[in-house]
Parts: sequence; C-alpha cells; structure tokens
Amino acid sequence: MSIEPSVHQDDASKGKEKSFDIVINGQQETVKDNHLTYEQVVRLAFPGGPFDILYSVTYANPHGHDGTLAPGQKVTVKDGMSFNVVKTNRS
Amino acid sequence: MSSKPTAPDSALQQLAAAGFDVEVHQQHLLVHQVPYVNEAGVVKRGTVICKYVESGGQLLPPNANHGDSHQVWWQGEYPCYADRRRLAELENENQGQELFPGCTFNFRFSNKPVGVDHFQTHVEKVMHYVDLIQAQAGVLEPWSRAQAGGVKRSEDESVFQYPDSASARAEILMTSAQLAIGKVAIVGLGGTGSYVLDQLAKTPVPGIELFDGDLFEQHNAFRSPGAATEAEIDARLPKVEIYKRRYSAMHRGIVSHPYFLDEANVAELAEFSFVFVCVDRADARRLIFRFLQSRGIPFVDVGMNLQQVKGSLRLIGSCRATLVTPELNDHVDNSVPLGDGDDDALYRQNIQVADMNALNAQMAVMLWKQYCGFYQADFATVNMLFSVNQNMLAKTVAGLGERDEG
Repeated sequence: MSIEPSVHQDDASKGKEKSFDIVINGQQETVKDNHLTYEQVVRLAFPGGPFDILYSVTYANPHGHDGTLAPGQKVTVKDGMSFNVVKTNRS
Repeated sequence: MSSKPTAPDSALQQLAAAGFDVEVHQQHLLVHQVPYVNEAGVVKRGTVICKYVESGGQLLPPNANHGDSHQVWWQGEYPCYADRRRLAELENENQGQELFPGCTFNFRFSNKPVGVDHFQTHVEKVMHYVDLIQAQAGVLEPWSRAQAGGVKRSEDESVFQYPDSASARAEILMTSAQLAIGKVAIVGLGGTGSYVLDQLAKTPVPGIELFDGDLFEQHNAFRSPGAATEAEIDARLPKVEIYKRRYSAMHRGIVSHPYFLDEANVAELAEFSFVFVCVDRADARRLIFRFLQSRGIPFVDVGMNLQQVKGSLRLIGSCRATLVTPELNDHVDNSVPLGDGDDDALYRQNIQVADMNALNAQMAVMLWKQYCGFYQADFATVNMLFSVNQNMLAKTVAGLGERDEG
C-alpha cells in the first residue's frame, strides 16, 4: 500500500516523538497522538466533514482489543491499528 | 390434514417414525405418497387406505374377527409392472366410491403372502401392499420410495405449511415456541429486509407483515435470497407481493402491504409485538422510531454502508443491528444515524452486496431471538457492528458508558 503523507509533519525541533502507523477507512495514516477520540477519528476519515451526522466507528488491533467508539469516547492508539468510520444507514 | 395423537405404539406412530406420510381419518389409516407405475409407464404417487378401528383405547387387529380383512383401498390410477402390465394379482374391485366423507377410492385390492391367513398388524398389512406397488416404481426410479416420499402436511392451526421437523428432531420445539410471541412487521423489503423475511419464515411467529411501496426489479434479484425467475422480474409486482408469494410456500402468516409508511399510516404498526426497521432514509427512521417508542413496541433497526477505498477497487464497510426496547433505549442517539444528510455526495455511491445484507439481517434476527429468550443473552447487548475489512464483530452493552480500551 502507498503511505499517505503524515497527518502531523515531523518537526525536528521538537525532538523524537513516537508516531503510530494506523489505517483509517482502508488508507494508511500516521498519527502522534497516544489517544484518539471519536471526533478525531471522524476528522481523519473525512477532513471535509460532514460532522453533524452519526458515524459507526469500529477499531481493531492485530492482536485483539477490538471495539467501538461513540461520540465522546476515546481509545489508546497502537501501531497497526485499523479504524472504520461508516454511516450505517443503508438497507 | 392433521394427525391426531394416538397410542405411541400404534401403526400410525410406527409408520410416521419410519418416514411415511400417514394420517388417521374417520377410523381409516391413509398412507400417502406411495410411488407406482401407471399404464403409460410413468411413476406417480397414490395412497393406500385400510380400516383402523380403535375400541376402548385398543386398536383392533386387521382380521375378520373384528370386522376387518386383509384388503385395502387405493387412491390413484391402477398400478402396473415396470413394463406397464397391470398388477393383476392385486385386483379385487374396480368401481371406485366414497369411503367416508371427503375420501373416495379408485380401486380395492386383495392380496396376501402365500401361507398367510390374515395379517397380525396394520403395519404388516400396509407394508405388504406398499412394497408390492412401489417395487415396480423402483425399477424405473430407484430413488422413489414412500418413506420421505413427500411433504408432511401441517395441522390446520400451524403457521407452517409443513411441520418444522428440524426443531422436532433437535428437540427444541419448546425453545422455538418462545418465538411465537405475536405478529412481527418488516418495514422495508430491500436487501436486508428480504433476508430478515427469509429467516422469520422459518420461525413459528404467528404473523409476518411486510411494508414497502417499491416494485421488485431486476437489480433487486441480486440482493435477495433465493433465485428470482425472469417471470417474477417481468411481472413488475411490488416487492412485498413477490416475497409474500415466495415465502407463503412455507409460512401461512405472511401479509403484504404494498405502500410506504408515513405520518398518515404509521399507526398500522401499533398491532405488532416487534418490528424490524430495514429502511434507508433518515426521515422514515425518525418517523417509525418516534411511533414505536411512543407505543413501547420493541424493534431492531439495521443499517450498513460500503465504500470504495480511494485509489483502489477494494471495498470497506460495516453493518449494524440495533435493538431498542422500552427498557433499553439510551443508546439510540449514539448508535443510529437519525440526522439528515442522506444525500451528501459522500454517500451517493450506494454500494450494496448481498452477503453484507444477509449478515446484517442475521444479526437483526439473532438480536430478536435473544430478546424473545430463544438465545441466552450473557450481556444486555443493544448494538452489533460488523466491519468486513476488519473481520470484526463489536457489541455495545446497555448501560456501559465511556471506556478506554488500552
């Protein structure tokens, strides 16, 4: 897979920060946050919004620790983690 | 037609247990689906009938001392050898008449094994004739046998056209009965709703009513259970009518309502014990949710979405099933997208795939079965979310607030 540009540009003046390679809606991203909230994950998936609708957010780790994020919830970020941000409204 | 319960060691029970389609009617034993060869050399199926007289709880053996004989009656054409010669050894009476109200025979047969004066039991007697007749059919069609030869019909009061022999076999009939709580509705017979019906038709729920104003079109065939015929597609019938016809082959309680629900008629949902909400419009969801919650009617809402990953042909996506009951409803706002925005550009590509529809429907049906007490619920699960690209099924349990998985 092609590596997308990092969400946070490396800034040498800040010294070495740990960054995480994750997948959001099938695309590679790199983040520096130890935690991600529902709102942050939605913004990573859809930078242009819309933000006024409800998404079903699931996260999965290669070694387990799967779960869901509701608005207001957050999760600890791990390398290789995958997120789905989907509006589950079709039938 | 029904089979009255009789003594467990009766001929009826023995033959039924052996897989024969049998019934007792007006003191007669009828063995249906006996394969025979007609005079044109075609394998068809007929019925052997004999007296079956119970007296004081005792079954009278088939002999002259009890006003019976070794003879039987036959419904069908005259049975033949595989080479089309009549089975003359059976012949006794060729003038058919009414045996009892609603039952007319075509022929009477009389035949005994050499050295046998009379048959000891009804099973022995009936099997003598059945074997003679079906042996000839077996020459032409080795798979044709009276055992499991046909469908066992249901009792008149059953919701099924034929009994649920799988549940009987697995001895979970009592468990299955938990599902017969009351009528259920499916609102929306799209991909997911049609698979919900596919499952519900196999449960003893007394009524399954279908609401949808759309016609069944060619593209629907690819997101619907079974294989639609070209005639079904050409008929331009409402989806609910196509599905009602298809599933009425199995379940007697299916009713079709070929229209959409709106403010004017949403109250039609008041009579249901449970509703499956399988729509894809936020305004319809809001209307139906508001009504069902105001009446305290439990329901499951389903929803899914698939999208293409930018710069690739691959799909990602999730499907969701959400249970809402009068007791458990705090999770609705954080689970179900009820806002507007169905038409945003992001979601104009409406990719749907039958396996995701089917899985979404199974999740909904399982939540309903859990609600009914058919399945054990170890947690008060109110939301299930499957993500195909993550191969992952996540649950939301009622009353659990924020948490940080770490």
